[in-house]
Amino acid sequence: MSPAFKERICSSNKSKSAIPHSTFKCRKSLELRKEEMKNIRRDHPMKIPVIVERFHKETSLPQLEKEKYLVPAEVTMSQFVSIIRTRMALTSSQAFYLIINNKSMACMSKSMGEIYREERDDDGFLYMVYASQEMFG
Amino acid sequence: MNQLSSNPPSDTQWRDVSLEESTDGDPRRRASTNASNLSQLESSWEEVNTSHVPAMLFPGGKSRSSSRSRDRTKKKFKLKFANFFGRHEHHGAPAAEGASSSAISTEEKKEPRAEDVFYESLTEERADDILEGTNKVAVDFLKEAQQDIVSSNTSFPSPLQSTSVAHRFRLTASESEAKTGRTTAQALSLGMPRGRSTSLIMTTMPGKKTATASPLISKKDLIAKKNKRVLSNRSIGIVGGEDFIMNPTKSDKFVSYLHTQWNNVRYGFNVKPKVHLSMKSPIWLLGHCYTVGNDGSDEEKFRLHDEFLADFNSRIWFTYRRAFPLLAGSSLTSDCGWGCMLRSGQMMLAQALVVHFLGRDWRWNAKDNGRRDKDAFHRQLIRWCGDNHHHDQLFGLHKLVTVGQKNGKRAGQWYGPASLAFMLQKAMIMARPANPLLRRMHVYVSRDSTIFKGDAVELLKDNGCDGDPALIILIPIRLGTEKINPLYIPCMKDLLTLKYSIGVIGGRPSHSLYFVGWQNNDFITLDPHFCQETVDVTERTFNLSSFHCSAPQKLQISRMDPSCTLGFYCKNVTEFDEFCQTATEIQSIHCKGFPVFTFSEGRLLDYEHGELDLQSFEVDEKSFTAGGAESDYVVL
Repeated sequence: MSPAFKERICSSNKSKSAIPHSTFKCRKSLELRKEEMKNIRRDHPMKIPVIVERFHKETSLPQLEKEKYLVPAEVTMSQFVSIIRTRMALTSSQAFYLIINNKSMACMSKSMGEIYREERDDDGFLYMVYASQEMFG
Repeated sequence: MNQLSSNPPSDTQWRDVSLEESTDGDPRRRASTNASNLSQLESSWEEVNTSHVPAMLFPGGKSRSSSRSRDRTKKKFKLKFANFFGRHEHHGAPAAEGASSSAISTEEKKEPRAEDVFYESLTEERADDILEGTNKVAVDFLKEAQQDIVSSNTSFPSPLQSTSVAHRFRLTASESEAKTGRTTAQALSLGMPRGRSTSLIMTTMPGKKTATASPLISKKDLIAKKNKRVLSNRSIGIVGGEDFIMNPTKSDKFVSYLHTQWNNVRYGFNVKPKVHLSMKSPIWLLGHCYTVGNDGSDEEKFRLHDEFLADFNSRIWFTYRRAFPLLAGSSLTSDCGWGCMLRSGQMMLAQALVVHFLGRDWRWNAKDNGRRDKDAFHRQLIRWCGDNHHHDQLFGLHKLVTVGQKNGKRAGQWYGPASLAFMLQKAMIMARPANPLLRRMHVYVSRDSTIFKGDAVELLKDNGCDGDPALIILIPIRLGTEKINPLYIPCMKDLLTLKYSIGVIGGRPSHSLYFVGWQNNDFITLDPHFCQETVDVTERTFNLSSFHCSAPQKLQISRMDPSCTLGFYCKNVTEFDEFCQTATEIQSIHCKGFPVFTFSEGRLLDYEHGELDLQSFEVDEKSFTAGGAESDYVVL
């Protein structure tokens, strides 16, 4: 997906939905995000910038208070998941999935550094979406 | 009333019970009206119906004759009417006239005691009017309704129809319309076949207040009545309640058939008559492969196709059911429109139990009922999943709903595949002490798509039961946000070819299905969205045919919803180790780096303890601003 196309999708999203629910990408233009990235690199060169957002159709999981994280590269996926779980005060039996680029993050032993290398966005951020499971009737 | 409780429930009884409940605490009246109520009504109706009575009673309407006998009859009649109507009045019953009489009900609510008012206003003239009105309208109505039924023969009078008739009552009969309507409905019920009359009565007066317990009514009666009332209030409810199911007549069967068809359209059951499964490409069904080579003869193909169908037909199929005993804490007697996830879960569990008790190679033969011992097991499996409150229904819908209620789910809500997995686990924990057959059975549910080998092996080596217990592994996963990531499709297919597989609970968006196999790019599914009558599984030899599906359905894999729960069954530790190995291999081939699920050494507890260090991250967290006030970062 080209960046221009992404921008277009974002702008169309923006016109439809209210600002607080729009994604980080939609709120900020590519230039702004790159600018922000520069600042992060300068102050925290060893940390990975991660954006964790709620899947827009998700209803059962709460909205995270903070969605931007600077994570050390050696933190594993399982550690990161439990950090997010604690922040949302979820019980262990509640379904919670972190999805990166439409891929489920089942491999809990992977470190954030590895994931960042494979899945980072063009602007330098790592985008994650969290969701529980859909309901059926 | 004794006589009533001894009789099988019928519409007559239902009506009687409702009359009984509507009496107040006055013992005199109750005693006089209970059992004799119907006969009284009947006789009064006969008197009404014979036109000479009003004529004799009130010749010329207002002429005052001093004949004693006439006065006596008049008094008698007045009393009967007062008795009958008063009782209904008192209970606020006219409010029960449903859609057609909302206006009436509000009017009558304003009056302090409708009963008294009615008694006061019951003059000779009024009585005359009422009698005449009742008589005329009732006869007309009866005729019309009968005509309707005879002419349309296919359908019972729809709620719409009867409401319109009820509406007509309102127009013809004067102020006493509500009562008139009721009398007519009562009368109608006397002269008509049971199933029909019940439906009429129910549709003309839906929404009555719930019964208050009366000492003369047994609990069973009350429940039966309650069930019927709930049904009558639902547009898609059963007509006539229990007795209707127990002794279906030919026409009732037709009504039921219509209901089913309507439900199937309504809940999106695929009405395609037959799905074509060519034998050209291999069909996988729960670890079995049905395939012929390129040069396979037609005979071979037919044979294989039959084998496949026999296998498919042997899988236990659970569908929506209607008119089952009331679900605790709700007014539901059907799971149409909400229970499909539970049904899919039951199917997967039943498959695991089939493998456990009967083996994967067991086939159900509808004709000869299979071998005796296996047949008994088969029946028992289905009995466990029956729709009943009975404690023997260990995995029935009622049980699962109760388990769900403990997790904050109400009956009628939709369930997700993950919550269902935990519900099945809990149901199994509760079932194990209840039935010795299930002692050697455990359910393990993975957390965060990770199977902790330590936990699983611990269950497999449980010493509490004689012999090695088997393990059902349920893995709730999510394979994408909006749609399934195509990356996972080959992996999902390969996982279904494992001999440990007991299928996948998933579906297309909002429509749960049970995936049992695949061919090319389609999953072969069992669809619970098919409404059937409840089967009483407590009977010794209940009919099994509605628990097996002979027509396989297909769903394009790319159309499946990304949320699902994988199911596997391992007989012992050796099988579990094998399963770990094969599953890991499959995933490393198809989705390297992004497995559907993973295995982890150790136990969840250790892992959670290990996480304790992590809390330090949280404590150290501080915020960092990089451009703009709104961009606060949590630094771990």
